Amino acid sequence: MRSSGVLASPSASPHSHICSVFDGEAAFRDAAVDFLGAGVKQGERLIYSVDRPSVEALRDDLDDLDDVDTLVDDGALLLRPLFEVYGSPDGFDVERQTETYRKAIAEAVDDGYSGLRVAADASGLATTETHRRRMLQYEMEVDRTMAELPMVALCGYDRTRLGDAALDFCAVHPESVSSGTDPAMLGFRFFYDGGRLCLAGEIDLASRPLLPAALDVVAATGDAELVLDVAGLEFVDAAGMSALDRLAHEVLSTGRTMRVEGASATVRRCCEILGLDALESTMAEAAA
Amino acid sequence: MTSANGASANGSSGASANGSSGASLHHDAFFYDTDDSYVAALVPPIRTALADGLPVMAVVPPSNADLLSAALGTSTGNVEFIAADQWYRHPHGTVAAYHAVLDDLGGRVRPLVIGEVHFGDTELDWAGWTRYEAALNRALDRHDAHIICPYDTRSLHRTVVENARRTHPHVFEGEARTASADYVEPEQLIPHLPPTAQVPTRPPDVRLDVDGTIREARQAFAAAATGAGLPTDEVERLTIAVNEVLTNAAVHGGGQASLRIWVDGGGRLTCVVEDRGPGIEDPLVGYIPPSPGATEGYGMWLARQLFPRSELTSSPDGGLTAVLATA
Repeated sequence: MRSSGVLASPSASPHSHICSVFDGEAAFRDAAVDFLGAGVKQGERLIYSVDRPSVEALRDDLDDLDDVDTLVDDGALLLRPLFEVYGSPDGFDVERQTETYRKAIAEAVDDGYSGLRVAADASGLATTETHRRRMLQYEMEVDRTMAELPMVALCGYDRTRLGDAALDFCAVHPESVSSGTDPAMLGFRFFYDGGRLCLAGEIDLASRPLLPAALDVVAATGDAELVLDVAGLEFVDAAGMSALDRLAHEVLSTGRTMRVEGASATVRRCCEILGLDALESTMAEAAA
Repeated sequence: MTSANGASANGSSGASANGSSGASLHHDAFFYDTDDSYVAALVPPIRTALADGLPVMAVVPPSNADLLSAALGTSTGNVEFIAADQWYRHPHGTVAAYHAVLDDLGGRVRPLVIGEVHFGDTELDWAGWTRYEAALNRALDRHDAHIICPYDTRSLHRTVVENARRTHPHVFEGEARTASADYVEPEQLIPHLPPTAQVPTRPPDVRLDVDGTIREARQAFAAAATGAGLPTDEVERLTIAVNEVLTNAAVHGGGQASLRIWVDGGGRLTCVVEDRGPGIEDPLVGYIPPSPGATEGYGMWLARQLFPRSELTSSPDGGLTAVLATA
C-alpha cells in the first residue's frame, strides 16, 4: 500500500509522489536540498528540474546539498531546466512526458541505482488554466507509472505564481505538503495503488473547493472502464456524493462503464436517499 | 382510465381522479371507534378503486388488515397490505417512501392509500408523527392520490386525535368528505406543534465551539457516539447527519456554531447544533425532498432522514437550533 495523506515535511517512502505547494522559490529550494539529500542515501539517481535559464543556475540552487559537484560529475544528479525536460507549456505532451520518465527510470536501474528521485518545480507549466488542466492530467498519469516503478518525486507548485489554484494539484497526488495551508482543505486525494485509481481521505466543506478540478481530471482519464476504489475514503458529505454522482453521469454518458468499489453500506444508503442513481448504480454490493 | 368519482363514497369535493387533468391530493382523517364502522366506511372506497383498476395500499395494523380482508373476500389479493408498524418507523423516511411510491406511479393512476399512522409509545413520537401528518399536505401536494388516515379514538391520546383535525383538510366519513374546520396549513401549524426532540435540561457531556473546520467537531461526535456503544454503521450514519447540520451552520449560519452532545444509557444520544445565523424560515425544511439536481437543501433532507428524531427551531433574535436525537 502506498503512503498517502498530508505530510508535515516532504519525506519519501517507496513510490512516494508528493505535491508541495509552497510560497516563493526559496522554500522549494530548501525542501529540494533535503529531499534530494535523502535520495543519495537511498542510492537513487537524482533529477532536479526547475524553471531556470541554465544548468549553472540549477547547480547554484543546490549549493547546500553535500557533495553536489561530485554528484553532478558522477551522473548521480542530473540538472535539467524545466522546459528542457518537459518541453514548452504549449508543446507539453502527457504521454510523451510519462514515457520520458519511464526511460529515465530504466536507465537509472541499468546504471546501478536503486531508482529515480525527482524534485521539480513545475509552476512554469501551470500558469494558465489550459496548461494547469493538462498538468493535472499528467500528474495523474505519471502517478500510475510511479505506483509500479522505482521512482519518487517531489512536485512543487508555487502559490505566489499560481494562487490558490496550486492547491488543485494536491488532490491528484497521494501525498501533499503545504505549510500555511489547513490540512482539512487537502482532505482528499486521487492516486493509483494496486493497479487501480483510489480515492482516499475526507470530502467535506473544507476540501470541497478542490473537487471540481480533480473530478475533471478523473473524468478525462480515458479508461474504457473507470474503476474507483473508495475503501480509503473515510468521510464524504452530501455535496461530495452529489459531485461523484455528476462524475458518474459524465463517465457513463460517454459510453464508458464505471465501478466504485469499497463504498460502505451507509454511503450507498445515502446515495439512495439523495436519489443519486448514477453513482448508486456504480457501487458494488459489499462483500459478505 | 375511468374516473373514481362514479361512486358516491368518495364524496364530490371537486376530486380530480384522472392524473392528466391536474394532480389532486386528498388527505383525509377518518375517526372510528368500532370495528364495524371501520369496515363500513373503508371497504366501499376500496372496492370502487379496485373496480376502476386503481392501485390500493392499506398500511394498517394487522388486526385491521384482517377485518378488511374478511370484508373484501376475494378482492383482498388486489390490495397491497403493509403492516403499519413497519411502514411508519421514521417520519421523514415515511415521507420519502410515499414519494417513491407515488413517483413510480408517475401520475398515471390515482392510488387509494389507507394510511393508519403508527403513533408509537411516547409523546415525542406522537409529536413527530403529528408533524409528519401536517407536512404531508405540502410534501405530497404535487401528487395525485387519495390518502385516508384512520384514527382509532379508543386508543389514541386525545391530543393526537384533536391534532388530526388540524393536520387534515378533510374528514372522511364514509358517505361524504367534509372540510375540517380546524385545518391549518402546515407552514402555520408546524411551528406551533409540540417538538419531537428537545434540548436536555442537564449539562451536556461534550461541548465544542465550531469555528472554522468542522472535521474536529465531526470526529468529537463520532467518538461520543462510539463511546455510547452505538454500532459502527450507526455511528457512520449519524456522523454524516451531524456533519450536514454543521455544514449548514458554516455556510448559512454565520460560520460559528456550538455543538453539544448528551449521552444517555442504552445508546441514546442527543446532539444540539446552534448557530447565530439568520435561521431557517421554512418550517418544512427536511420534509420536502430536494428536486433532482438541486444544489441546495439536500443536506438537511439527508440529516433528517438519518436521525430518528430532529427539530429545527429558528430563534426570533437570530440563530438556528438543530436538535438531533436517537430513540
